[in-house]
Amino acid sequence: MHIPDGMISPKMYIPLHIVNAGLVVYGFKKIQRKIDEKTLPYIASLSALSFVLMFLQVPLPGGTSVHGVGVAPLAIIFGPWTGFVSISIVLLVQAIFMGVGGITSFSVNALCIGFFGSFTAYYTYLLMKKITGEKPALFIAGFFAIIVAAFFIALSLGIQPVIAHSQDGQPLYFPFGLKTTIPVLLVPHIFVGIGEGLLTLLIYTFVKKRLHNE
Amino acid sequence: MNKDRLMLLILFFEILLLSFVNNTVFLALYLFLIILLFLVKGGEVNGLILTIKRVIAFSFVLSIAFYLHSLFTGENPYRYILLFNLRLFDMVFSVLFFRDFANPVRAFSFSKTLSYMFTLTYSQIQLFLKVHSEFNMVMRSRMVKSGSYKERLLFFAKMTEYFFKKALRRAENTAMAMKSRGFFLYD
Repeated sequence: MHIPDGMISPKMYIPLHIVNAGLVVYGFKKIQRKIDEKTLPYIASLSALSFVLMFLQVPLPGGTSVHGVGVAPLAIIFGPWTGFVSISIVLLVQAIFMGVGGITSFSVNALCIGFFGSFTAYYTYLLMKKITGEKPALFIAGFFAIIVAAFFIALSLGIQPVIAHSQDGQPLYFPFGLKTTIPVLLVPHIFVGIGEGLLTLLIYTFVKKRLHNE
Repeated sequence: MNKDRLMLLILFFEILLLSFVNNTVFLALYLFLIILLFLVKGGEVNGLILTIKRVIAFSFVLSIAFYLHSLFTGENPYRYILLFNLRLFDMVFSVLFFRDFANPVRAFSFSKTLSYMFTLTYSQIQLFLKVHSEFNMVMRSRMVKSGSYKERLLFFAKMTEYFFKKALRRAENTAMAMKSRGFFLYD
């Protein structure tokens, strides 16, 4: 799902870097008091699990592959700001150490996957818990976190040919418009969303049980 | 300002500059120079190859997709494909240069808690990468031909479960060690 370097124009990434930096600083201040010797291992492990899910490509029939994100368990268990800050750290580690994602696309990735993914998961869970009960709510929250993140990624990529092109109309950054990016990203992510929903359910149950026993 | 943070600042300016440049000659020259500098300074070649492999997969798919798209639109695809690939590789090499010759953890140590979160998460990721490669080798050594789709999914699920449990145990131990040494988490 992540966007690599060179795909996002400065017109978009510079303001988004500023917005993202502000949100990370604000989010970090909000979560700082929650971090102690009990929660830190879980946050670090779930962040690392998120890295693994992004790193391991799950093959889909037909030769394509996609990956999960693991943002929903982080957001639901520790709050959306923790989810956002943790995913931002994971994306930064990937961009700097692994060359996956990128510096210019970091803010777009962090906002779409970390911010929108976390807040979607958290509020979907709160809303659906009242309607469907806990377990279906966890699944739905994981599913929508992925779909919303993929939608914003598709939107960010799809507007590039409109906002940044040469005088003769050739694209300078990502070349395809919304008509291409939205179906290409959203359709495979329906399958990822189902996996992410199941994973959210499993991880939430496991971590809550373990936290409760301590 | 320490050396690592200065290098981080230089990297940001470098990437910013590269993202504005649409001149393929400049980008090609820059790529040549950064590769030369990387090799002369003794950068880690294995890590470089691994990263390039990951980037090439994406670059190849997008280049092919744009070429096919241009067959329908009638536009000349080569300028864009060249521009996009040169810019992508320029940026990737700049980041690799920073990674190999600076300490990214120290560069991002804006706060004590952030440093610990960053270090702990990064150490877990390293553990995952090690276990991932070991699991892959174990699977390859035990299978004559590639497994079915279901088998691969099961392998993926089991490996993820193992990763998570191992990482959690390790993180709990690290956090307890930090606590026993009087680590005060709040800045």
